[in-house]
Amino acid sequence: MDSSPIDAFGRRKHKLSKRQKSNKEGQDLTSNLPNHVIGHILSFLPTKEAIHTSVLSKRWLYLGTFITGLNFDDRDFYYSSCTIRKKSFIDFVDRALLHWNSGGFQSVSLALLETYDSSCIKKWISVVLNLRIKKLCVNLQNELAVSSDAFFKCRFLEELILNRFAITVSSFVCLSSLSSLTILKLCRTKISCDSSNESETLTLNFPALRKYETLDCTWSGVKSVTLQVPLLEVVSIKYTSVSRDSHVEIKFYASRLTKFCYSGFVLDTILLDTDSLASADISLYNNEKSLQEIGMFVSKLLSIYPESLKLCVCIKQFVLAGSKHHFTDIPPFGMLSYLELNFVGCEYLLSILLKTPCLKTLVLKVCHC
Amino acid sequence: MAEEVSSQMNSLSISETNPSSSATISLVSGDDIVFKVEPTIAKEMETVQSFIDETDGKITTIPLPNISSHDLPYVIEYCEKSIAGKITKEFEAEFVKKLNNEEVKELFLAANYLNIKKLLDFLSQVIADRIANKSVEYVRRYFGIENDFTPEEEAKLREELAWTFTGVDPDDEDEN
Repeated sequence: MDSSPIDAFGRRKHKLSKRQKSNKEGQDLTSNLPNHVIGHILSFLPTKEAIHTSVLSKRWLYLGTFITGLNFDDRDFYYSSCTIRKKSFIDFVDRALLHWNSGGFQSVSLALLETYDSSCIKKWISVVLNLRIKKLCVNLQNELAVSSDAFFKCRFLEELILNRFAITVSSFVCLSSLSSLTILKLCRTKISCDSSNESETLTLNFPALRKYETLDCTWSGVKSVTLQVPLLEVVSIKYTSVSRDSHVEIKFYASRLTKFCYSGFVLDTILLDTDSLASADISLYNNEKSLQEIGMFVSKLLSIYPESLKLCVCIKQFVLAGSKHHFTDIPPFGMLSYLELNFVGCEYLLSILLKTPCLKTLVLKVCHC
Repeated sequence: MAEEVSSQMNSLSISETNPSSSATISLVSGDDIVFKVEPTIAKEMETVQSFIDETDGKITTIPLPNISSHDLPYVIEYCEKSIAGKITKEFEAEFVKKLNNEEVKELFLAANYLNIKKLLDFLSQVIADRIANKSVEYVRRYFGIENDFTPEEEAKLREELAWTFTGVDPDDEDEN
């Protein structure tokens, strides 16, 4: 366009060829990269930026077709007026999806700071899911109500990350159709069963799931949730708030589970049906539950025979008056070789140690005896 | 250098009956510097590992003509951290702080050549971050891309893409 960049370009070329002889004459560093590798770099850019690269040169004009991931973030749109910003963002996503309507990409991420018409967001989600993408990540600022049907029919989806959704699940729907899903992460998402579900139980099937992660996810309209997850390896459940009354029993049928993490407040009852668990990491915060309830919760979790256990109960009274019998009732930890106790009173230590014949390492942190 | 390679190959072929799996791997940079690494490091580098596998582990000296002795230690450091499971956000931030734009690009080419998926993804993100919000001219200079559009063609293209050109940062001066 103008002459100054060429000067700078020339200078740079010179510098490069001096520093690295093997890079033949310091030519275009991307000319020896295959198209798909450049497409890979472009997939890490906000899609708005990735589209700009088509102006770089004739080769780059079509390199955009090698993009494997689209990233839409409305923070990339700088306008002082919120209305213009939202309008230009909507326009952009619509056009970009039209631009890549042939698919060919594998992941889509949508991060929205502003509030949009729910029909608009649902339309985008449905368009990208129809393109047989493997990874979908949607971060919303305001809750979006959707039916589970929107996602559960995607045979190709391998990774699903949702933030701030309210998902209604029909108890009759066959959920094994998410047959490729390996990673499921749900943040601040409410899952509710429709009212036709009289048995108040829900069974979800994820035949390929390896990783299940939730943060402040709540269930309603249901008393018991069963997850049939034969290949599941990692479970991570976090509750950072306690703002609800409902109580659900979640049971994982996961014979290959290796890692279990629970942190935060005690809300749902978690039951694990697994053959062997390599490590369990449990950190509980203080909340309004009685010590009895917390004791119950812990002892239920501890019946999973982990090989390594980190237990942290950040509740002082638990040390002093904790429900002793819950610890003594638990089955022997035949497999336990590593035990770390934080804030857990030593009065239970002896009864725990008597039941851990394979224990090799014991770590005690801030134990008030 | 050539002698060193052949003598090592001879000694290895002698001990062929008892190939030691724990023998270190020698990586030879384009400027003939030998880096000895553990076999586990080589495993991270798919190109190297497939070379070793193809020769049934008999050859443990691998020439890497496309990679300089300046870049190879960075690659090895990243692989070591990766094996130890110590790739944290902090480590990556420190790692990238040490690198100027040219080095990032060279490492990217090295990671691509060696086929190290994690390093490639990480550097893709670094490059993406460094060209994000930059002008077309800046990105051309960054990659050393020659503009083969006529001014008319480029103007037309820019007009077509006008809907994407908002909020581009002013160009930085030399960032190295």
